Amino acid sequence: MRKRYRELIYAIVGIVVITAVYLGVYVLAGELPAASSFVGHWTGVIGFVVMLLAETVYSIRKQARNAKWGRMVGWLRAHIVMGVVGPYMVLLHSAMHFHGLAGVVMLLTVGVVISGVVGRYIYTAIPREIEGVDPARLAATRKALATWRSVHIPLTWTLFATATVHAVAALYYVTLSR
Amino acid sequence: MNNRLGFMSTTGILGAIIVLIAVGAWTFFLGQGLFSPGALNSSSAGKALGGVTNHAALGGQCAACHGSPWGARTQAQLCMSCHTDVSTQIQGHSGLHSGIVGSSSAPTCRGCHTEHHGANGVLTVLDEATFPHDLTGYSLAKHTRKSNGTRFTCADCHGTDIAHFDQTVCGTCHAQMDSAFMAQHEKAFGKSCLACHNGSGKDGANFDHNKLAFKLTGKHAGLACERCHTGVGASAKGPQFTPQDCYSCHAKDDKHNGTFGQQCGQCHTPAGWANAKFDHSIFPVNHGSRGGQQASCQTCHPKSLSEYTCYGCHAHTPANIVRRHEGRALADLANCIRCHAGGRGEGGD
Repeated sequence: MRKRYRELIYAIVGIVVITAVYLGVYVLAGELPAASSFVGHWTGVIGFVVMLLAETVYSIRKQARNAKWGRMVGWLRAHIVMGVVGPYMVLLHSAMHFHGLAGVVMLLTVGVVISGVVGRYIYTAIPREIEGVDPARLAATRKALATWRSVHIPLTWTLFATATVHAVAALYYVTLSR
Repeated sequence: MNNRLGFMSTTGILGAIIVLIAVGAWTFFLGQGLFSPGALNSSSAGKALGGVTNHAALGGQCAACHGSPWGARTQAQLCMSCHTDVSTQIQGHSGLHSGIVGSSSAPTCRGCHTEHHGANGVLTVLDEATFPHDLTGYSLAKHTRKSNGTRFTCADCHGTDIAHFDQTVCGTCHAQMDSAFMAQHEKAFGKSCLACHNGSGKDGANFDHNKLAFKLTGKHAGLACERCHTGVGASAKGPQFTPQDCYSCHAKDDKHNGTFGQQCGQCHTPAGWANAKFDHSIFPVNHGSRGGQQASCQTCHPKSLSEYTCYGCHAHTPANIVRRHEGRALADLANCIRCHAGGRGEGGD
């Protein structure tokens, strides 16, 4: 049971640690760190990088089928943990303000995470045993997984495209502004 | 076998391209408001600066405040292109902004001022620990801790708007400390506390009036401040503007009805009106008296004791005087003592 939910436990531990640090900053500063503050800014940057890694590293590992960099299930687990922790950091970065394009980025992030959660349960529904599997059930789950992929991946692309524009705008209007 | 990376989805890449085109089109046709992190302040400043009375009226003109990173003008320069009062302060080396610019190695407007926090959002955020409050003209030297021992916060005096200060706040706190004193003090001086107080404390309990030019001696000592410093609150001027000449306060006390002039101190001291002493040595009272008799005051002061005349004695007629001072007009000859000190016959001009 515990093994089955290991990635969720890791994700919850990550969220608890990040929340503790964030609350520490909140108590010291007396207010939520604004998105443009040092803590808020870097929470967003790191969250974005974690999300980007969650996607790319997992895909690269999947493509390199012959490589021996750990088992695929381990990488999927890392994908899920990073895909939960990264968006959580992005949510903290928003400081609960959802305005303009930045608000759209947050909305897409939530969409990708929800689709990820759905995908994880479709994935676990795939029969693991080789013999005695109902071919119809196998075909149905594979089809469901393929359909899910056709939503999850384009949604992620839209998210990253919007997030990149948001980051460039932040660089232009704030970070590089003299 | 499909050797493509898992995330290289055609629909995904297409989705990303559509997003980029959509954002580009939105920006081109509808302005850059899409990138705004929040609404701008819309509280009216009264008079228009740069053609608008608040930032919200700028609409989607982001470039009014945000120059490009490679542009010629910095954001501070863009701020001051409208807020010329601030640039005047800085160039004139006066006022709060000049002090802050002078005390910072890399001063920027946004170091203290913020925006995009909504229609009623705060526009000034200060670092309470390092803000040089003395530069506002009011020191916090005596306002580090409240009477209950806790530290002051900006909000204790400023409420929600740190850039403004309502002087009634002074009275609210200080009445809690000593209501009787404050009632009497406000009645006497009004509620424009800052007209007299600058927070340094030297106008407080340790204040010593005798270190000033106007010493409080005799009957002046022990008077309530407001006996002399009247109308300070109403005029919004400090007690340092109180007149120091006797007559400004004592005209109503003049028993001589103005006939002795307004230089009370020639005869009287702050010890009291009685025991007045006048030093008449500048011109001997027995001057010209016959047989040792002293002339009466009226001999020389027929109108008032603040004026004198030599005419009417001896051969001192205006015609004689003019004749004996050949070449001079009579008007020049009224003040005889100027040359004939002590009443001697020979002049010394």
